[in-house]
Amino acid sequence: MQRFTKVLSYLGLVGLVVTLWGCEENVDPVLGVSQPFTMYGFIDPTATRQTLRVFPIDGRLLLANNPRIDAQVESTDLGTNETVVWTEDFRQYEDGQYGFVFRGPFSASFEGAYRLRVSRSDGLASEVVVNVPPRVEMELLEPIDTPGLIAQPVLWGSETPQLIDVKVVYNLQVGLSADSELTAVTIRYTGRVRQVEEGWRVDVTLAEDLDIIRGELFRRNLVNNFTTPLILNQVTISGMIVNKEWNPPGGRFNPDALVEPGTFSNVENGFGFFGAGYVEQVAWVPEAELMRRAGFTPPPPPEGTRVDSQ
Amino acid sequence: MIPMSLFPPTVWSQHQRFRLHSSGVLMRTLLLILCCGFAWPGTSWAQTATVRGFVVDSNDGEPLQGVNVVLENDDGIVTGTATNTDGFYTLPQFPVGTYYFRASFIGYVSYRDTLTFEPGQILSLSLELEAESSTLDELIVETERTTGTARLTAGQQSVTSAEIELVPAPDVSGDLANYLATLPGVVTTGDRGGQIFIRGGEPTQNMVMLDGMLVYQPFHILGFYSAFPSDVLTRAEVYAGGYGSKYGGRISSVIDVSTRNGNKRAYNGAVSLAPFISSARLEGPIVEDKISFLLSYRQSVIEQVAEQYINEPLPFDFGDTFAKVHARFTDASQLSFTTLATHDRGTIQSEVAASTQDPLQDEGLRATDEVGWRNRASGLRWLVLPKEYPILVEVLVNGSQLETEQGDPDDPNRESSVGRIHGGVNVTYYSPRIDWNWGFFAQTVEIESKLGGLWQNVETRKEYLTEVGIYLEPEVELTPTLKLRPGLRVQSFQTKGVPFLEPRFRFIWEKGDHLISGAFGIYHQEIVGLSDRRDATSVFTAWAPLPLGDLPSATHVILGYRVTPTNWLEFAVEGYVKQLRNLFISEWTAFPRFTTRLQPADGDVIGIDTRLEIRLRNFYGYINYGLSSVEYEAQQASLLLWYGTESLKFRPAHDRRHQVNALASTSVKGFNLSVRWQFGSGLPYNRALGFDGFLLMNGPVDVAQTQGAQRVIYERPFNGELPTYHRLDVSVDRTFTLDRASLTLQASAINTYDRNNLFFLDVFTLRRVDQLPFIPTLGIKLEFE
Repeated sequence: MQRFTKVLSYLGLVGLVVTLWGCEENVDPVLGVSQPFTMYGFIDPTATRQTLRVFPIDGRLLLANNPRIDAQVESTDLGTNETVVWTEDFRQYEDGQYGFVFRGPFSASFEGAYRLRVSRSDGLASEVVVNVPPRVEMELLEPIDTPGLIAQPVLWGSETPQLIDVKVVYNLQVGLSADSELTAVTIRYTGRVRQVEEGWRVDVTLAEDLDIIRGELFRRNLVNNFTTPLILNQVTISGMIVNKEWNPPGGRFNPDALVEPGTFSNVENGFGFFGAGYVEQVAWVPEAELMRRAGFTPPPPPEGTRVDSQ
Repeated sequence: MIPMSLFPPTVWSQHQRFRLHSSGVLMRTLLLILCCGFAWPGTSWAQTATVRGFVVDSNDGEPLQGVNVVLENDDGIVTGTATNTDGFYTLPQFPVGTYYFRASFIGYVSYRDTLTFEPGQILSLSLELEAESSTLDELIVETERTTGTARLTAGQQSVTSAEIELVPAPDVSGDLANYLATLPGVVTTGDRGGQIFIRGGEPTQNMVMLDGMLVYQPFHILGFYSAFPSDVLTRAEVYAGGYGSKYGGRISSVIDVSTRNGNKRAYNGAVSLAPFISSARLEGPIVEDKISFLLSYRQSVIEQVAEQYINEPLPFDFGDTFAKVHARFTDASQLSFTTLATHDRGTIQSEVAASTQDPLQDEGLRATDEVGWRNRASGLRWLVLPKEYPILVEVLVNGSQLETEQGDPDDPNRESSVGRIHGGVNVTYYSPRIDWNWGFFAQTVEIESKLGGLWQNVETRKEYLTEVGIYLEPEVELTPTLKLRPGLRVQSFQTKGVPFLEPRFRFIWEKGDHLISGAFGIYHQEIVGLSDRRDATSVFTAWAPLPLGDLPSATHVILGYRVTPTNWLEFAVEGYVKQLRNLFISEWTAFPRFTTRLQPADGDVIGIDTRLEIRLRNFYGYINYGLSSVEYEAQQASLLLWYGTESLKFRPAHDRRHQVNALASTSVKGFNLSVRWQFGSGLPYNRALGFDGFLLMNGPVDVAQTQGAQRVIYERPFNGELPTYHRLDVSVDRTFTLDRASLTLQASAINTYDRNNLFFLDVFTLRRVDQLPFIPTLGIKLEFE
């Protein structure tokens, strides 16, 4: 029994230690960060005002409605040292939440450099410096018409820092009758841009795209067989010429990967991405023979028309 | 008195024997296994005889487990055994002749007879033992010696209803779920949610059986309760790992519950009222001595009663209905039909604690968070002793179904159902040194999910899967001190199209007070339960066939030591390792809530359980300590981008490193007093640095019009640790004997020192939900005959 008492004493001691260890009941789930803001947007040298979206970095998820933000935004043209104060432009979305939008009333210069600073009343600030890409011309090269490839190459000049969001829009008439449906099908050319010596090149693969177009028209119930003639009225290709930092790690805009804070960010003392860029596009009507060989039907006036970009 | 077997009945050995030891060497015995063991039924059989049968209590016809059955002659004991859960015994292939036959059990009048056996005779002899009322106290002590918290054998532990009753609970009757939470290595989500993690495995990796039927979600939404009230079960075998070849299809653990058959002599029943749950039980003969029934019904009253006096919403509605009919046709044949139905519905998050201060959002959250599930299971179990062979055959035919939903009861936004039709045969052929256990099964699983779109990147549809398998698991008495149980299970999984070999091995070495046991096994699982473990309140589980890749598998290794230095003290320590491979867990993401996808992961579990159990004349107690580590290694494609590594090691949310459970029970002047204290170190959780928003800048995005997604700025996954958990529960009860009835009054207190134990922390809203506060309860139970 003496042994038993001894064992119980030890157990009691252990219990006391463990109890004292476990006195803490509170937990601080949010540690907080020194970065005050997350920002998204871009400077568009073709626009007359710039737009910025700001998210305050908060200790609580923004479930409650809060139309106030403690933020001031200003931009500085690093070439002229001209500073512009941006104005608030609150947005309320369908679910009642607010978006903190700021407008910068100025036109940016191609190849200019700008510092954007978002500051809080306590002095903490997030900022980013962006370089606006130069004006770039697009060029339609000679079409490719070989047994394995029917394509229209497009070239953006070598001064292009980065090219993203390249897409091709096919304007079509489904069927030959006068009341045939007019429609457009957009095909994203993500991952099909090649950097070549002359610049950035994309081959618009007309024949390959026809299969994708037919699949999409099936999905929309506009065709129900593969023999329905598709009159190709026009092809438009567009791409966004952006600054070189606008290049996601891994080369893909994968939201599941990029959502991780800091993964794709150029903001100092903050998160998010603020870039610079503009959209450049060119439209044309391929030559009738090229269309036929690709599987399309040429429009009644079988004459290719070239439309240069703005 | 003959000592009880080394092995817990029904688990290691359905049939334990001891015999006058003869010397033997390893090679000789192996030769015996190879040559003689397969010689079915063997030429020597003609020169031997066998006696087998069932032993029941003459008072109610219930099987008696642990009855010593021996054959003696003038030289002493020739052979002997102990009955299993079904009260079954067999003494196989002993030399023919005349013997004294004796069946004895402490607290019962022994059965004695003189029997003469002819060559080749197989005698079926079933017995009824009559209780000696004067030794009932002794009976309790002796029967508990086969079980108890420290009676741990290679990951396996037997649990009786008597042990369950000792654990304080807000109910007059005990419940298996409440007992399981006292075991080291078992981590629960606490008072709410009904999720149990056993030695690192997840809830959907546990196999829970009731009389041979699978029960998919056996634990109620309130953590004290399972689908198995203690007064209908006889025994639960809990395999925390290393289980034998009879079991398959789950990779973590097995809980095999056996229920009573019902009184075959008289009608009796019980009703109980308590603030959390009320219950009724009725049993009796349909045909006296032949056919009996047992009914049990429980329904929660927590919303109507407990919620009123603790001033906290407890939005839980749950209950279960159990029915069993058991028929004993002959001495060699028994048939039972069991059915179980359960229902659960509730909101895991407390409304008060979860308030966002915005009534509209609160309402929306409640509708989203409400979960419900229903189990249905029915089955036949036929035990038969073929006249011509020394074998026991168990035939199982059963069906199980689980329906789960989340959201508004009238219009749930997620639904999942899984059902199984199973047929199987388990056979044991008894020979003097080897019990040949083997069996086969076939089952079809139906899975259907409507998840409101793509969830966890699993395409959902209605599917049928067929699985077949066979196993062989001889139980070999290699030497008087060493018993081995090698096994091999061959199972086909439809999604893979090839059979999987699953070797298993268990051993026990015992000498004097010392016992060493070990187990090894490889396991696979085809049907997986998908849930978002980032969120403790997310108990919604969608069952699905393996989404992709290799089958989830596990390798278990267990080594344990047990010592009984005195008759009042027992100590056990057991180390274990579980390698979990090809798991599918929620993909790590900074998007809040259910935007997750699945990612492959491996898990490594290592731990040690230590248990000290004390049994004195008027005191029973134990203290358990569990030390464990669970580490997942995920292989998400983005990890290289985020952290510069191809894989990410982290502690999953159920990795509780330290656990202590202590229980003390005594009787004072007719009052039974039980005190239980439990302690658990903090669980990992995802600690946030802050919150912002996310816009995918993949082009000329209109950042004013595009709302974007809310985002969490996390530390590394599960980098935080919640506060420790500890609680003291107390109960006092006293039973008053009335004329043909007894009345039990119970007072209990949960969380006696009102510790604010954290159940769930919503890092998105900073909402904190605690476990139950201090709750005193009074319960009453009337048992009548």
